Amino acid sequence: MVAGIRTDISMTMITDLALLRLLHLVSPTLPIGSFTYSQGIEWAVECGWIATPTDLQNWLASQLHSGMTHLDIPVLQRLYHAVERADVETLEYWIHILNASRETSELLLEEKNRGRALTDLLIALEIPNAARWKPLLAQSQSAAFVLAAVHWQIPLQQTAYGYVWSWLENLVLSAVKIIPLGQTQGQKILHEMTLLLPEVVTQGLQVADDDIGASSPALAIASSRHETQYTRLFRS
Amino acid sequence: MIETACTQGWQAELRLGFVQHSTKTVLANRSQRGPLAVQRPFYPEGDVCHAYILHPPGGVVGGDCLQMRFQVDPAAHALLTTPGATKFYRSAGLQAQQHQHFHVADGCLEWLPQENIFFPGANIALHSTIHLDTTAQYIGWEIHCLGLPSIGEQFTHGKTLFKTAIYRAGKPLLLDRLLIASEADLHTAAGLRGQPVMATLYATPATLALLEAVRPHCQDIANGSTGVTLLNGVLVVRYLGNSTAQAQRLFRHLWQIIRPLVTGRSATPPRIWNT
Repeated sequence: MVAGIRTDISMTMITDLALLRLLHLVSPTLPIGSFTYSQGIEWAVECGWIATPTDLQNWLASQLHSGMTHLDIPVLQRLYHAVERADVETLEYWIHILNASRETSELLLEEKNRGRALTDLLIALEIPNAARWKPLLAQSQSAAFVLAAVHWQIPLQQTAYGYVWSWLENLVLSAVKIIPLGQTQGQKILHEMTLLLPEVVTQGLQVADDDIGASSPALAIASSRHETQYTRLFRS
Repeated sequence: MIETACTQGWQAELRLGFVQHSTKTVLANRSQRGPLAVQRPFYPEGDVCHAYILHPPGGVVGGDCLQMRFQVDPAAHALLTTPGATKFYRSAGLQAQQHQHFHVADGCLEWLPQENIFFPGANIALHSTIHLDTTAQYIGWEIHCLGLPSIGEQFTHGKTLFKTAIYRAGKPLLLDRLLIASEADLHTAAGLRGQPVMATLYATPATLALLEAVRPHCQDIANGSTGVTLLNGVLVVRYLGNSTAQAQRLFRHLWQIIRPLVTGRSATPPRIWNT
Protein backbone atom coordinates (compact mmCIF):
# COMPACT_ATOMS: atom_id res chain seq x y z
CA MET A 1 0.00 0.00 0.00
CA VAL A 2 2.75 2.42 1.06
CA ALA A 3 4.81 1.38 -1.93
CA GLY A 4 1.79 2.00 -4.14
CA ILE A 5 1.32 5.52 -2.84
CA ARG A 6 5.02 6.24 -3.20
CA THR A 7 4.94 5.09 -6.83
CA ASP A 8 1.94 7.27 -7.43
CA ILE A 9 3.65 10.37 -6.06
CA SER A 10 6.84 9.77 -8.02
CA MET A 11 4.72 9.37 -11.16
CA THR A 12 3.21 12.80 -10.85
CA MET A 13 6.08 14.81 -9.34
CA ILE A 14 7.67 17.12 -11.83
CA THR A 15 10.84 19.10 -11.25
CA ASP A 16 11.02 22.77 -12.20
CA LEU A 17 13.41 22.04 -15.02
CA ALA A 18 11.25 19.21 -16.35
CA LEU A 19 8.23 21.55 -16.32
CA LEU A 20 10.17 24.07 -18.40
CA ARG A 21 11.21 21.34 -20.81
CA LEU A 22 7.56 20.29 -21.17
CA LEU A 23 6.56 23.88 -21.99
CA HIS A 24 9.27 23.87 -24.63
CA LEU A 25 8.16 20.51 -26.05
CA VAL A 26 4.55 21.63 -26.53
CA SER A 27 5.35 25.13 -27.72
CA PRO A 28 3.59 26.04 -30.98
CA THR A 29 6.87 27.68 -32.04
CA LEU A 30 8.53 24.26 -32.29
CA PRO A 31 9.53 23.99 -35.96
CA ILE A 32 7.44 20.90 -36.73
CA GLY A 33 4.63 22.58 -38.65
CA SER A 34 1.84 21.83 -36.16
CA PHE A 35 -0.16 24.82 -37.40
CA THR A 36 -0.42 23.38 -40.92
CA TYR A 37 -2.80 20.54 -40.00
CA SER A 38 -6.56 20.59 -39.40
CA GLN A 39 -7.26 16.82 -39.22
CA GLY A 40 -10.34 16.99 -41.39
CA ILE A 41 -11.76 20.17 -39.83
CA GLU A 42 -11.23 22.06 -43.10
CA TRP A 43 -13.59 19.69 -44.91
CA ALA A 44 -15.98 19.40 -41.95
CA VAL A 45 -16.40 23.18 -42.13
CA GLU A 46 -16.89 23.16 -45.90
CA CYS A 47 -19.58 20.47 -45.75
CA GLY A 48 -21.39 22.21 -42.90
CA TRP A 49 -20.62 19.77 -40.09
CA ILE A 50 -18.79 22.52 -38.21
CA ALA A 51 -20.28 26.01 -38.41
CA THR A 52 -20.47 27.32 -34.86
CA PRO A 53 -18.26 27.31 -31.74
CA THR A 54 -20.56 24.62 -30.30
CA ASP A 55 -20.09 22.43 -33.38
CA LEU A 56 -16.34 22.77 -33.01
CA GLN A 57 -16.46 21.88 -29.32
CA ASN A 58 -18.60 18.83 -30.05
CA TRP A 59 -16.22 17.76 -32.83
CA LEU A 60 -13.16 18.06 -30.60
CA ALA A 61 -14.87 16.51 -27.54
CA SER A 62 -15.90 13.57 -29.69
CA GLN A 63 -12.27 13.00 -30.67
CA LEU A 64 -11.04 13.49 -27.11
CA HIS A 65 -13.39 10.77 -25.88
CA SER A 66 -12.69 8.35 -28.70
CA GLY A 67 -9.29 8.45 -30.42
CA MET A 68 -7.45 10.45 -27.78
CA THR A 69 -8.70 8.34 -24.83
CA HIS A 70 -8.61 4.92 -26.48
CA LEU A 71 -5.72 5.18 -28.92
CA ASP A 72 -3.31 8.12 -28.59
CA ILE A 73 -2.84 8.18 -24.83
CA PRO A 74 -2.64 4.42 -24.22
CA VAL A 75 -0.14 4.07 -27.07
CA LEU A 76 1.81 7.08 -25.80
CA GLN A 77 2.01 5.35 -22.42
CA ARG A 78 3.40 2.14 -23.98
CA LEU A 79 5.88 4.07 -26.11
CA TYR A 80 6.99 5.94 -22.98
CA HIS A 81 7.74 2.73 -21.09
CA ALA A 82 9.49 1.26 -24.12
CA VAL A 83 11.76 4.32 -24.35
CA GLU A 84 12.42 4.18 -20.59
CA ARG A 85 13.67 0.61 -21.00
CA ALA A 86 15.40 1.37 -24.33
CA ASP A 87 13.29 -1.50 -25.67
CA VAL A 88 13.44 -0.88 -29.41
CA GLU A 89 11.38 -3.93 -30.32
CA THR A 90 8.41 -2.82 -28.19
CA LEU A 91 8.80 0.74 -29.44
CA GLU A 92 8.54 -0.49 -33.02
CA TYR A 93 5.57 -2.73 -32.19
CA TRP A 94 3.50 0.15 -30.81
CA ILE A 95 4.51 2.52 -33.61
CA HIS A 96 3.11 -0.05 -36.04
CA ILE A 97 -0.09 -0.34 -34.02
CA LEU A 98 -0.52 3.43 -33.92
CA ASN A 99 0.18 3.94 -37.61
CA ALA A 100 -2.11 1.08 -38.65
CA SER A 101 -4.83 2.76 -36.56
CA ARG A 102 -4.52 6.14 -38.28
CA GLU A 103 -7.64 6.21 -40.40
CA THR A 104 -6.62 8.04 -43.55
CA SER A 105 -3.64 8.71 -45.72
CA GLU A 106 -3.43 12.32 -44.52
CA LEU A 107 -3.65 11.44 -40.84
CA LEU A 108 -0.92 8.83 -41.27
CA LEU A 109 1.22 11.24 -43.26
CA GLU A 110 0.81 13.87 -40.55
CA GLU A 111 2.00 11.39 -37.92
CA LYS A 112 5.07 10.63 -40.03
CA ASN A 113 5.88 14.17 -41.16
CA ARG A 114 5.72 15.52 -37.64
CA GLY A 115 7.72 12.55 -36.43
CA ARG A 116 10.46 13.26 -38.93
CA ALA A 117 10.56 17.00 -38.18
CA LEU A 118 10.61 16.45 -34.42
CA THR A 119 13.29 13.76 -34.68
CA ASP A 120 15.51 16.12 -36.68
CA LEU A 121 15.03 18.75 -34.01
CA LEU A 122 15.87 16.28 -31.22
CA ILE A 123 19.01 15.26 -33.11
CA ALA A 124 19.99 18.92 -33.36
CA LEU A 125 19.42 19.25 -29.60
CA GLU A 126 21.65 16.18 -29.14
CA ILE A 127 19.02 14.17 -27.31
CA PRO A 128 20.50 10.69 -26.72
CA ASN A 129 19.22 7.94 -29.06
CA ALA A 130 17.47 10.45 -31.36
CA ALA A 131 20.00 9.86 -34.16
CA ARG A 132 20.35 6.15 -33.51
CA TRP A 133 16.59 5.50 -33.50
CA LYS A 134 15.77 7.96 -36.27
CA PRO A 135 14.41 5.35 -38.70
CA LEU A 136 11.77 4.44 -36.08
CA LEU A 137 11.11 7.86 -34.55
CA ALA A 138 10.70 9.46 -37.96
CA GLN A 139 7.60 7.30 -38.48
CA SER A 140 5.79 8.63 -35.45
CA GLN A 141 5.52 12.00 -33.78
CA SER A 142 4.23 10.27 -30.64
CA ALA A 143 7.41 8.23 -30.37
CA ALA A 144 9.66 11.25 -30.94
CA PHE A 145 7.58 13.19 -28.39
CA VAL A 146 8.09 10.56 -25.68
CA LEU A 147 11.80 10.22 -26.43
CA ALA A 148 12.20 13.91 -25.52
CA ALA A 149 9.87 13.55 -22.52
CA VAL A 150 11.72 10.59 -21.05
CA HIS A 151 15.10 12.24 -21.57
CA TRP A 152 13.93 15.43 -19.91
CA GLN A 153 12.44 13.42 -17.03
CA ILE A 154 8.92 14.64 -17.60
CA PRO A 155 6.66 12.13 -15.80
CA LEU A 156 4.28 10.07 -17.93
CA GLN A 157 1.13 11.80 -16.76
CA GLN A 158 2.45 15.28 -17.52
CA THR A 159 3.75 14.01 -20.83
CA ALA A 160 0.23 12.89 -21.68
CA TYR A 161 -1.19 16.26 -20.58
CA GLY A 162 1.33 18.05 -22.78
CA TYR A 163 0.49 15.84 -25.74
CA VAL A 164 -3.27 16.37 -25.44
CA TRP A 165 -2.94 20.08 -24.76
CA SER A 166 -0.73 20.56 -27.79
CA TRP A 167 -3.20 18.64 -29.99
CA LEU A 168 -6.14 20.68 -28.70
CA GLU A 169 -4.41 24.05 -29.00
CA ASN A 170 -3.28 23.39 -32.57
CA LEU A 171 -6.69 22.26 -33.77
CA VAL A 172 -8.53 25.13 -32.10
CA LEU A 173 -6.13 27.60 -33.68
CA SER A 174 -6.59 25.97 -37.09
CA ALA A 175 -10.37 26.00 -36.69
CA VAL A 176 -10.38 29.66 -35.67
CA LYS A 177 -8.80 30.48 -39.05
CA ILE A 178 -11.03 28.12 -41.05
CA ILE A 179 -14.54 28.77 -39.67
CA PRO A 180 -13.55 31.67 -38.99
CA LEU A 181 -13.89 32.63 -35.34
CA GLY A 182 -12.42 35.52 -33.36
CA GLN A 183 -9.18 34.96 -31.44
CA THR A 184 -10.99 35.53 -28.15
CA GLN A 185 -13.66 33.00 -29.09
CA GLY A 186 -10.86 30.51 -29.73
CA GLN A 187 -9.37 31.18 -26.32
CA LYS A 188 -12.79 30.72 -24.69
CA ILE A 189 -13.12 27.33 -26.37
CA LEU A 190 -9.65 26.29 -25.20
CA HIS A 191 -10.41 27.51 -21.69
CA GLU A 192 -13.60 25.51 -21.55
CA MET A 193 -12.31 22.36 -23.19
CA THR A 194 -9.30 22.19 -20.90
CA LEU A 195 -11.73 21.01 -18.21
CA LEU A 196 -12.17 17.75 -20.15
CA LEU A 197 -8.48 16.89 -20.23
CA PRO A 198 -7.94 15.45 -16.72
CA GLU A 199 -10.62 12.80 -17.30
CA VAL A 200 -9.33 12.04 -20.79
CA VAL A 201 -5.77 11.52 -19.54
CA THR A 202 -6.83 9.55 -16.47
CA GLN A 203 -9.03 7.22 -18.50
CA GLY A 204 -6.54 6.96 -21.33
CA LEU A 205 -3.82 5.76 -18.97
CA GLN A 206 -6.08 2.91 -17.77
CA VAL A 207 -6.93 1.35 -21.13
CA ALA A 208 -5.95 -2.32 -21.45
CA ASP A 209 -4.07 -3.60 -24.52
CA ASP A 210 -7.17 -5.35 -25.83
CA ASP A 211 -9.27 -2.21 -25.65
CA ILE A 212 -6.88 0.01 -27.61
CA GLY A 213 -8.30 1.59 -30.74
CA ALA A 214 -11.18 3.91 -31.53
CA SER A 215 -12.31 4.86 -34.96
CA SER A 216 -14.24 8.01 -35.77
CA PRO A 217 -16.17 7.37 -39.00
CA ALA A 218 -17.15 10.99 -39.68
CA LEU A 219 -13.62 12.22 -39.02
CA ALA A 220 -12.26 9.51 -41.32
CA ILE A 221 -14.64 10.56 -44.09
CA ALA A 222 -13.87 14.27 -43.58
CA SER A 223 -10.15 13.56 -43.73
CA SER A 224 -10.56 11.35 -46.83
CA ARG A 225 -12.56 14.02 -48.61
CA HIS A 226 -10.01 16.66 -47.62
CA GLU A 227 -7.47 14.89 -49.85
CA THR A 228 -9.13 16.46 -52.89
CA GLN A 229 -10.80 19.51 -51.37
CA TYR A 230 -10.75 22.25 -53.99
CA THR A 231 -9.58 25.17 -51.89
CA ARG A 232 -7.49 24.13 -48.96
CA LEU A 233 -4.99 25.83 -46.75
CA PHE A 234 -4.09 22.94 -44.46
CA ARG A 235 -2.16 19.73 -45.06
CA SER A 236 -4.73 17.51 -43.31
CA MET B 1 -13.48 -14.57 -21.03
CA ILE B 2 -14.51 -15.50 -24.53
CA GLU B 3 -15.06 -19.08 -23.33
CA THR B 4 -17.51 -18.11 -20.57
CA ALA B 5 -19.44 -15.77 -22.84
CA CYS B 6 -19.86 -18.61 -25.30
CA THR B 7 -21.20 -21.32 -23.02
CA GLN B 8 -24.86 -20.65 -23.87
CA GLY B 9 -26.52 -20.40 -27.23
CA TRP B 10 -25.24 -21.71 -30.52
CA GLN B 11 -21.62 -22.78 -30.63
CA ALA B 12 -21.09 -22.69 -34.35
CA GLU B 13 -17.89 -23.04 -36.29
CA LEU B 14 -17.31 -23.23 -40.00
CA ARG B 15 -13.84 -24.01 -41.35
CA LEU B 16 -13.29 -23.81 -45.06
CA GLY B 17 -10.12 -24.44 -47.03
CA PHE B 18 -9.87 -23.41 -50.68
CA VAL B 19 -7.21 -25.06 -52.80
CA GLN B 20 -6.27 -24.53 -56.44
CA HIS B 21 -6.55 -27.71 -58.51
CA SER B 22 -5.56 -27.91 -62.14
CA THR B 23 -8.27 -25.69 -63.63
CA LYS B 24 -10.23 -24.32 -60.72
CA THR B 25 -10.36 -23.51 -57.02
CA VAL B 26 -12.03 -26.25 -55.02
CA LEU B 27 -13.45 -26.30 -51.54
CA ALA B 28 -11.02 -29.00 -50.44
CA ASN B 29 -11.55 -28.81 -46.70
CA ARG B 30 -14.73 -28.21 -44.83
CA SER B 31 -15.65 -28.78 -41.23
CA GLN B 32 -18.86 -27.59 -39.72
CA ARG B 33 -20.19 -27.49 -36.19
CA GLY B 34 -23.57 -25.96 -35.34
CA PRO B 35 -25.78 -23.93 -37.66
CA LEU B 36 -23.18 -22.11 -39.77
CA ALA B 37 -23.10 -23.66 -43.21
CA VAL B 38 -21.81 -23.31 -46.73
CA GLN B 39 -23.80 -24.09 -49.86
CA ARG B 40 -22.36 -26.19 -52.65
CA PRO B 41 -19.89 -23.99 -54.57
CA PHE B 42 -20.51 -23.01 -58.17
CA TYR B 43 -18.40 -21.63 -60.95
CA PRO B 44 -19.97 -18.79 -62.98
CA GLU B 45 -16.48 -17.68 -64.05
CA GLY B 46 -15.06 -21.13 -64.71
CA ASP B 47 -12.19 -21.22 -62.23
CA VAL B 48 -13.10 -18.94 -59.29
CA CYS B 49 -14.99 -20.68 -56.49
CA HIS B 50 -18.20 -18.83 -55.57
CA ALA B 51 -19.86 -19.93 -52.33
CA TYR B 52 -22.65 -18.74 -50.05
CA ILE B 53 -22.30 -18.75 -46.30
CA LEU B 54 -25.51 -19.40 -44.35
CA HIS B 55 -26.04 -18.04 -40.85
CA PRO B 56 -28.28 -19.71 -38.26
CA PRO B 57 -31.76 -19.53 -39.79
CA GLY B 58 -33.30 -17.75 -36.81
CA GLY B 59 -30.63 -15.05 -36.61
CA VAL B 60 -28.07 -14.53 -33.87
CA VAL B 61 -29.03 -14.07 -30.22
CA GLY B 62 -27.14 -13.33 -26.99
CA GLY B 63 -24.79 -16.15 -26.03
CA ASP B 64 -24.29 -17.39 -29.57
CA CYS B 65 -20.71 -17.76 -30.66
CA LEU B 66 -20.04 -18.03 -34.38
CA GLN B 67 -16.56 -18.74 -35.69
CA MET B 68 -15.67 -18.61 -39.37
CA ARG B 69 -12.20 -19.76 -40.34
CA PHE B 70 -11.47 -19.47 -44.02
CA GLN B 71 -8.17 -20.43 -45.57
CA VAL B 72 -7.24 -19.68 -49.18
CA ASP B 73 -4.17 -21.54 -50.44
CA PRO B 74 -1.62 -20.26 -52.97
CA ALA B 75 -3.08 -19.45 -56.41
CA ALA B 76 -6.63 -20.22 -55.20
CA HIS B 77 -9.43 -17.68 -55.55
CA ALA B 78 -12.65 -17.74 -53.54
CA LEU B 79 -15.59 -15.34 -53.64
CA LEU B 80 -17.88 -15.61 -50.62
CA THR B 81 -21.13 -13.88 -49.95
CA THR B 82 -24.28 -14.35 -47.90
CA PRO B 83 -27.74 -14.80 -49.41
CA GLY B 84 -29.46 -12.56 -46.88
CA ALA B 85 -28.87 -10.01 -44.13
CA THR B 86 -27.55 -11.37 -40.83
CA LYS B 87 -29.83 -10.39 -37.97
CA PHE B 88 -28.53 -9.89 -34.46
CA TYR B 89 -31.47 -9.88 -32.07
CA ARG B 90 -32.03 -8.19 -28.73
CA SER B 91 -30.08 -9.86 -25.95
CA ALA B 92 -31.37 -10.64 -22.49
CA GLY B 93 -27.85 -9.85 -21.27
CA LEU B 94 -25.38 -12.22 -22.83
CA GLN B 95 -23.06 -11.07 -25.55
CA ALA B 96 -23.14 -12.75 -28.95
CA GLN B 97 -19.86 -13.10 -30.78
CA GLN B 98 -18.96 -13.51 -34.40
CA HIS B 99 -15.31 -14.03 -35.26
CA GLN B 100 -14.12 -14.07 -38.83
CA HIS B 101 -10.58 -15.39 -39.25
CA PHE B 102 -9.37 -15.25 -42.82
CA HIS B 103 -5.96 -16.40 -43.95
CA VAL B 104 -5.03 -15.80 -47.55
CA ALA B 105 -1.76 -17.32 -48.72
CA ASP B 106 -0.63 -16.06 -52.10
CA GLY B 107 -4.17 -16.34 -53.49
CA CYS B 108 -7.28 -14.19 -53.45
CA LEU B 109 -10.30 -13.91 -51.16
CA GLU B 110 -13.38 -11.78 -51.76
CA TRP B 111 -15.77 -11.40 -48.83
CA LEU B 112 -18.88 -9.57 -50.07
CA PRO B 113 -21.67 -10.28 -47.58
CA GLN B 114 -25.07 -8.69 -47.21
CA GLU B 115 -25.59 -6.34 -44.29
CA ASN B 116 -25.57 -7.03 -40.55
CA ILE B 117 -28.68 -5.74 -38.80
CA PHE B 118 -28.45 -5.03 -35.07
CA PHE B 119 -31.83 -4.93 -33.41
CA PRO B 120 -32.22 -2.45 -30.53
CA GLY B 121 -30.82 -4.12 -27.41
CA ALA B 122 -28.46 -6.44 -29.27
CA ASN B 123 -25.16 -7.14 -27.53
CA ILE B 124 -22.58 -8.26 -30.03
CA ALA B 125 -18.84 -8.38 -30.66
CA LEU B 126 -17.94 -8.77 -34.31
CA HIS B 127 -14.26 -9.33 -35.02
CA SER B 128 -12.58 -9.77 -38.38
CA THR B 129 -8.95 -10.78 -38.48
CA ILE B 130 -7.41 -11.03 -41.92
CA HIS B 131 -3.92 -12.41 -42.41
CA LEU B 132 -2.44 -11.96 -45.84
CA ASP B 133 0.75 -13.44 -47.20
CA THR B 134 3.13 -11.23 -49.17
CA THR B 135 1.24 -11.16 -52.48
CA ALA B 136 -2.25 -12.15 -51.29
CA GLN B 137 -5.23 -10.23 -52.65
CA TYR B 138 -8.24 -9.32 -50.54
CA ILE B 139 -11.45 -7.43 -51.19
CA GLY B 140 -13.95 -7.35 -48.36
CA TRP B 141 -16.65 -5.24 -46.82
CA GLU B 142 -18.90 -4.98 -43.80
CA ILE B 143 -22.21 -3.10 -43.79
CA HIS B 144 -23.62 -2.48 -40.33
CA CYS B 145 -27.11 -1.24 -39.62
CA LEU B 146 -27.75 -0.11 -36.05
CA GLY B 147 -31.43 -0.42 -35.23
CA LEU B 148 -34.21 -0.68 -37.83
CA PRO B 149 -34.25 2.70 -39.57
CA SER B 150 -36.87 1.56 -42.10
CA ILE B 151 -39.47 1.39 -39.33
CA GLY B 152 -37.98 4.19 -37.24
CA GLU B 153 -36.51 2.00 -34.48
CA GLN B 154 -33.23 3.43 -33.27
CA PHE B 155 -30.47 1.54 -31.51
CA THR B 156 -31.39 3.26 -28.26
CA HIS B 157 -29.94 0.50 -26.08
CA GLY B 158 -27.54 -2.35 -26.58
CA LYS B 159 -23.86 -2.68 -27.32
CA THR B 160 -21.81 -3.41 -30.40
CA LEU B 161 -18.07 -3.82 -30.70
CA PHE B 162 -16.60 -3.96 -34.20
CA LYS B 163 -12.95 -4.83 -34.70
CA THR B 164 -11.14 -5.29 -37.97
CA ALA B 165 -7.45 -6.11 -38.27
CA ILE B 166 -5.64 -6.62 -41.56
CA TYR B 167 -2.08 -7.93 -41.47
CA ARG B 168 0.32 -8.55 -44.31
CA ALA B 169 3.26 -10.85 -43.64
CA GLY B 170 2.55 -10.46 -39.93
CA LYS B 171 2.68 -6.66 -39.89
CA PRO B 172 -0.49 -4.68 -39.18
CA LEU B 173 -1.67 -2.70 -42.20
CA LEU B 174 -4.95 -1.53 -40.77
CA LEU B 175 -6.57 -1.71 -37.35
CA ASP B 176 -10.07 -0.50 -36.72
CA ARG B 177 -12.13 -0.63 -33.56
CA LEU B 178 -15.51 0.94 -32.84
CA LEU B 179 -17.50 0.49 -29.65
CA ILE B 180 -21.12 1.62 -29.40
CA ALA B 181 -22.12 1.27 -25.77
CA SER B 182 -24.74 3.98 -25.25
CA GLU B 183 -27.26 6.03 -27.16
CA ALA B 184 -24.90 9.00 -26.91
CA ASP B 185 -22.32 7.02 -28.93
CA LEU B 186 -24.70 7.16 -31.91
CA HIS B 187 -24.59 10.92 -32.02
CA THR B 188 -20.92 11.84 -31.59
CA ALA B 189 -19.87 14.67 -33.90
CA ALA B 190 -16.75 13.01 -35.35
CA GLY B 191 -18.25 9.51 -35.00
CA LEU B 192 -21.61 8.34 -36.32
CA ARG B 193 -23.41 11.72 -36.33
CA GLY B 194 -26.75 9.99 -35.72
CA GLN B 195 -26.53 7.91 -38.89
CA PRO B 196 -27.69 4.28 -38.44
CA VAL B 197 -25.72 2.71 -41.29
CA MET B 198 -21.97 2.49 -41.31
CA ALA B 199 -20.07 0.55 -43.93
CA THR B 200 -16.45 -0.03 -44.86
CA LEU B 201 -14.86 -1.62 -47.91
CA TYR B 202 -11.23 -2.76 -47.95
CA ALA B 203 -9.16 -3.77 -50.98
CA THR B 204 -5.50 -4.67 -51.10
CA PRO B 205 -2.97 -4.50 -52.69
CA ALA B 206 -4.08 -1.08 -53.89
CA THR B 207 -2.26 1.56 -55.88
CA LEU B 208 -2.74 5.28 -56.46
CA ALA B 209 -4.26 4.39 -59.84
CA LEU B 210 -6.98 2.43 -58.03
CA LEU B 211 -7.58 5.33 -55.65
CA GLU B 212 -7.95 7.70 -58.60
CA ALA B 213 -10.35 5.32 -60.34
CA VAL B 214 -12.60 4.96 -57.28
CA ARG B 215 -12.55 8.56 -56.07
CA PRO B 216 -15.02 10.09 -58.57
CA HIS B 217 -17.61 7.58 -57.32
CA CYS B 218 -17.17 8.57 -53.67
CA GLN B 219 -18.56 12.07 -53.91
CA ASP B 220 -21.70 13.62 -52.43
CA ILE B 221 -24.63 11.27 -51.98
CA ALA B 222 -28.14 11.89 -50.70
CA ASN B 223 -28.63 11.45 -46.92
CA GLY B 224 -25.10 10.24 -46.31
CA SER B 225 -21.38 10.68 -46.80
CA THR B 226 -18.62 8.66 -48.38
CA GLY B 227 -14.87 8.94 -48.60
CA VAL B 228 -12.00 6.91 -49.94
CA THR B 229 -8.38 6.81 -48.87
CA LEU B 230 -5.29 4.68 -49.42
CA LEU B 231 -3.10 3.69 -46.52
CA ASN B 232 -0.39 1.06 -46.19
CA GLY B 233 -1.46 -0.39 -49.53
CA VAL B 234 -5.10 -0.80 -48.47
CA LEU B 235 -7.89 1.07 -50.24
CA VAL B 236 -10.52 2.02 -47.65
CA VAL B 237 -13.97 3.25 -48.66
CA ARG B 238 -16.27 4.43 -45.90
CA TYR B 239 -19.99 5.06 -46.00
CA LEU B 240 -22.05 6.75 -43.32
CA GLY B 241 -25.75 7.18 -44.03
CA ASN B 242 -29.25 5.90 -43.45
CA SER B 243 -29.71 3.15 -46.03
CA THR B 244 -28.20 -0.33 -46.29
CA ALA B 245 -29.52 -0.52 -49.87
CA GLN B 246 -27.57 2.62 -50.75
CA ALA B 247 -24.41 1.20 -49.15
CA GLN B 248 -24.84 -2.12 -51.00
CA ARG B 249 -25.39 -0.33 -54.32
CA LEU B 250 -22.31 1.83 -53.80
CA PHE B 251 -20.06 -1.07 -52.83
CA ARG B 252 -21.27 -3.38 -55.61
CA HIS B 253 -20.68 -0.60 -58.11
CA LEU B 254 -17.21 0.12 -56.75
CA TRP B 255 -16.41 -3.59 -56.76
CA GLN B 256 -16.83 -3.58 -60.55
CA ILE B 257 -14.04 -0.98 -60.73
CA ILE B 258 -11.86 -2.41 -57.96
CA ARG B 259 -11.87 -6.08 -58.86
CA PRO B 260 -10.10 -5.85 -62.24
CA LEU B 261 -7.41 -3.56 -60.77
CA VAL B 262 -6.75 -5.70 -57.69
CA THR B 263 -7.16 -9.21 -59.10
CA GLY B 264 -6.73 -8.73 -62.85
CA ARG B 265 -10.14 -10.30 -63.46
CA SER B 266 -13.24 -8.72 -64.88
CA ALA B 267 -16.10 -8.32 -62.41
CA THR B 268 -18.51 -11.24 -62.60
CA PRO B 269 -21.12 -10.51 -59.94
CA PRO B 270 -22.29 -13.37 -57.72
CA ARG B 271 -25.47 -14.76 -59.24
CA ILE B 272 -27.49 -13.90 -56.15
CA TRP B 273 -27.01 -10.15 -56.73
CA ASN B 274 -29.26 -10.41 -59.77
CA THR B 275 -32.22 -11.67 -57.78
